[in-house]
Amino acid sequence: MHIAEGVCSGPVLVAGLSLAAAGVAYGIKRMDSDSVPKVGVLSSAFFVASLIHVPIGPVSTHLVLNGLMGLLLGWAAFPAIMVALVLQAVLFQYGGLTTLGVNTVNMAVPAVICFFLFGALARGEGVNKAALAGFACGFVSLTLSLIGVATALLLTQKAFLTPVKIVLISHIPIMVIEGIITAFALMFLKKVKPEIMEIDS
Amino acid sequence: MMMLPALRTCAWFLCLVVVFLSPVSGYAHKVMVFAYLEGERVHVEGYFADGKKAEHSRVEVFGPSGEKLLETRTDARGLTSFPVFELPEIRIVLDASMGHKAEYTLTRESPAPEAPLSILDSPDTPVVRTRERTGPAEEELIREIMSEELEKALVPIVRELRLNARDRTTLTEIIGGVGYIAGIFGLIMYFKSRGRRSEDGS
Repeated sequence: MHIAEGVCSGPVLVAGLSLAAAGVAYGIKRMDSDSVPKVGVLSSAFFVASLIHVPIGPVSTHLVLNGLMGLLLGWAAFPAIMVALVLQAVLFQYGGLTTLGVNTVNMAVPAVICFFLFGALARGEGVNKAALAGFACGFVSLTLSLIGVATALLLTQKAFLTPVKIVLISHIPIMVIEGIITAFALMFLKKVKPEIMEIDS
Repeated sequence: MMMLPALRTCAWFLCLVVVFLSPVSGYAHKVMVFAYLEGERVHVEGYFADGKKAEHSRVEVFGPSGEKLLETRTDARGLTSFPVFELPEIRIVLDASMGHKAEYTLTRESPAPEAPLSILDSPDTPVVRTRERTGPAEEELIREIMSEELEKALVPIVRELRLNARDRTTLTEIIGGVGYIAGIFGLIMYFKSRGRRSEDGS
């Protein structure tokens, strides 16, 4: 999920960085001081989630939780994800500082898309709706993130096309796992603190 | 007001994290490559930070000026090898797809047979006299035997060292990272609330 240093071409990196900067700026602007702790907590969750490792086929992968972040944070998912990615890059050489923009966009854009797609469903009456929204969110956000990574690689080099197909198929189990985890998280939140999902779009 | 749900979310995630981290003991997920010289072959080993082998990953070898020397793939154990090149330095790039890429530079510090006996080249050491007495052919033989034996003995040690030195994600780093995040968002909250207070005041 994290693109390493020296994989993407210059234009891809610059485009990613400018998109990420715009998203982060907008996210911070939209964030009111009351929701800052929530953003911080979810940023920490994202930071730690990437260290949970699941081996799948030729590649090992991990939970991303960007769907959950999108649902709970909206646009604030951008700053939350970027802060976590900076620390992952600095502490674990995970991803990289040059690919920070691309990685932020790959994970935050699906989060925001999920917020608009499933936000209303998640806020609807009943725990079942929240579970459904959660599963869809986890599954779709991860799929979109993988497509984002694939696009960034394809824009750099066409030869990546074949592994991309394999990776998309081999990631279906982790998409399902991500969906289930997000569904449980939302069901839990719906029961104990439903107002956490109230954010103005 | 938002602090309470935030704390609850935090507690919930901590439980989740503990459940998931316990069996995997906290490794980051990053691909790494390691190469070493054994006899006349270069051995390459690709693995993820959690110890899983990088199976069937593309390995490319580049010369000092960036020219591609060869391309191969690792086997199911994440290993591959190729004959040594007569070059001072080669760069080995492993690509485990989807942006997972690592490289390793293998340098040959002076031709291997010279190394074990280099101490004898110092003119101050009395050993030099012994060396003068031996013929050039004999000396060459000693050099060869010694380097062979040393290599045999050193390869596993070097490999062990390398495996021990590989990056591991420690709990300290994870907790440190979470602490940094708390600090960063605390700072953001400080500036946001200060801005709001000055607005209220005016």
